[in-house]
Amino acid sequence: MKQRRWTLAAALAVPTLLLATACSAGDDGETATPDGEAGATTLTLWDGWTQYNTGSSPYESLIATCEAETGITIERTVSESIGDTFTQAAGTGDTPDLVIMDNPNVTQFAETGILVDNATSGIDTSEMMANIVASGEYEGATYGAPVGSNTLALYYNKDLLDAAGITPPTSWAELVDAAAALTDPATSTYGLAFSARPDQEGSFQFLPFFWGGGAELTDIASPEAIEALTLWVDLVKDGYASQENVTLNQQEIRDQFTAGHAAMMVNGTWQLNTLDEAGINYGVVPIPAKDGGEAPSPLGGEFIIPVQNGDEAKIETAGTFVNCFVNRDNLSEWLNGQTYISPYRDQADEQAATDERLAPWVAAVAAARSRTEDLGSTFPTVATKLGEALSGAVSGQSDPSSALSAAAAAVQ
Amino acid sequence: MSSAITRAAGPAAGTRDDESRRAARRRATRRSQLAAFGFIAPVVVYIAVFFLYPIIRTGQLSLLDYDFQSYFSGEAPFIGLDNYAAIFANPVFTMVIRNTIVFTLVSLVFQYVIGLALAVFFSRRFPLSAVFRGLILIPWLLPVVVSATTWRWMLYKDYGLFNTLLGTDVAWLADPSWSLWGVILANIWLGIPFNLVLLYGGLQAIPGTLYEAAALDGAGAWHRFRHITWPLLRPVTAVTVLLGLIYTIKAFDIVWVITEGGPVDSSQTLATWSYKLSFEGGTEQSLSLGATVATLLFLVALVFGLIYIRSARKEVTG
Repeated sequence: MKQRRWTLAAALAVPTLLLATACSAGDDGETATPDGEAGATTLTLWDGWTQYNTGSSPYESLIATCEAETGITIERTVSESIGDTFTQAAGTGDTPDLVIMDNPNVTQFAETGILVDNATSGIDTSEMMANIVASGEYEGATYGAPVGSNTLALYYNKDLLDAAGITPPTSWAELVDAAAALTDPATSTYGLAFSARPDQEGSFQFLPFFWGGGAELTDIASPEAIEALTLWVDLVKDGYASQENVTLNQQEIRDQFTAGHAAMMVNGTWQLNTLDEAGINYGVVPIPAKDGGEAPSPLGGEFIIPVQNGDEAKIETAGTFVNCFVNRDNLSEWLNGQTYISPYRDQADEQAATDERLAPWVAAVAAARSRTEDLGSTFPTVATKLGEALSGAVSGQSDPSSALSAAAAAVQ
Repeated sequence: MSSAITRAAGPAAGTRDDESRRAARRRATRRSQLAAFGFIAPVVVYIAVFFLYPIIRTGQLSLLDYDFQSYFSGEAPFIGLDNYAAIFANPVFTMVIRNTIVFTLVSLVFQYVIGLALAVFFSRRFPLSAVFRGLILIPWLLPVVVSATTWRWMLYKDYGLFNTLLGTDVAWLADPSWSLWGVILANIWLGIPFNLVLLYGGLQAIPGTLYEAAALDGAGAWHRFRHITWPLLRPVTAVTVLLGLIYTIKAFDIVWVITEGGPVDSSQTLATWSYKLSFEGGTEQSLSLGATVATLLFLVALVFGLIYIRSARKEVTG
């Protein structure tokens, strides 16, 4: 009898224990109380820089610097697709205290109320360049602070251009001629490489051509837009650019360039250091507009923003950390490591003076356009549809005109 | 259990004791029933929490209007079957269905045929056969993200291994008319070990004496396969194909890593489409539309799951 009672007790105890552990595990995840000495504060920070997970990157040392300066402990989580992860987390109420996101996504999230504006968090962006801070503005409020900027330009392989006797192109016609002359199927070298992925990355790369041809985001199926897309489609059709561009992201485009498979590429500031390490002899020029001159480029870069969690003290702490994070002196090592342009005018000029590679970029960033200034929170949707359209046209699925019309109809 | 307890309680002795003995027996029965519930409780709780709840919640989501804003506000109005109407009317829908069917059928046929051929091959003992059989299991041991990324590289148009070996110039992943086939190729490779292991096990269970007797009667290799291996392997075949079907129809990672369903949805299957609708597309993303597709996928898988259970039961009883 005694034995049986024990069995009964055990049988009932096991599931109860299981439930108990399940519940307590859930509680731990929710509150995440710091278990250090009293007074220490822990903030969670999410970012998308999987490449800076080495323990010795400038990004990680920037975090460490501000941890030491403010006494705040940062628990960092990295996710390659930070926007998706953040949205999913919001659905379950499991958001971080700080998030670093791509600037065109800020308005989209600001609209939902999940982000904290600077008036509440005490973040100071008053000394930063207005066109850079503009990407973080939504309905009169600013959300977070930029951690540096980038934009796109045309990289070219000096050795290949010299061998072919070609100077960097300054108009679309010259671009096509140069790409044609530089293409060599025997060595699988393409004249030009760009990313035509069916997402925001593809449309980011397309915007200098889109704007450079005179199109505006408010009408993505305009004749100017169709002409710009036709330029890309013809480059691929004629074999001067690879059809594979619809699957390649900007890092993979860079790899094509460093491997000598592309004589020119559309890419951003952040590739400079990798290209130097690869030892390739390259030059940088602005992406040409249709009839010559410089095409407006989209302003890239990320914002660090406190996330709404209803805890005023914590939001204030997050603001303190951000102010430390975007402090001129603290930023400089990170900016050089990432080859980003400083959001501060004077610091950017200093960058141009000390590192000649950055001089064309400092000018380009100062003139770059915010992607969200025309469309606000609907930009990500338009950008995704635009990316799908250009990917469809470049892969040969549909012609530029019908692809863009379908995209325009989808965003109406 | 209760009969065991009754026996353990022993024979009755005297009428006065009868009453208390019966009460004790009732208590014992109740306690043993409780113990029985206690033992099945973990399974019930597990299934309810990890299977029943997600399925019901997905079904419920497919009836709500859960858009980008809802992630943050938590508010999603009930809209009935509107999501299903939207999915059926979506221009991509028929292509996704066609892709899912082609992907599943072609993958299954080749996985099974190649798996069976390898299983028959390895059922003969020869030097190093165990080593080779082990090597063929590698696709199973590698994380899909790793093998799928490698496949992506191999399928690149400009300097991928496939075009170099075949001397072709096909954009396996960038050309909408090829992308699905590129993914199917990788998925066949991925599914062979599963078929091999199950069919090899089935072959081991066929008594060798049957083959000896057939050989004595003058049956050749083909006849031995046709009249002994094939019919005796049929139950294992049914299980392999049905389980393979359920695994393949919901395959997500292999497709997502290689093409993300693209270009322009040309390699989109129900599983990847569900993810795309739920989490991609800026402010247009809708968890409800994703859940609607997931529910459709679940219903299809459920039908085949029930067929599997029925066939398994038939095997036991018949």
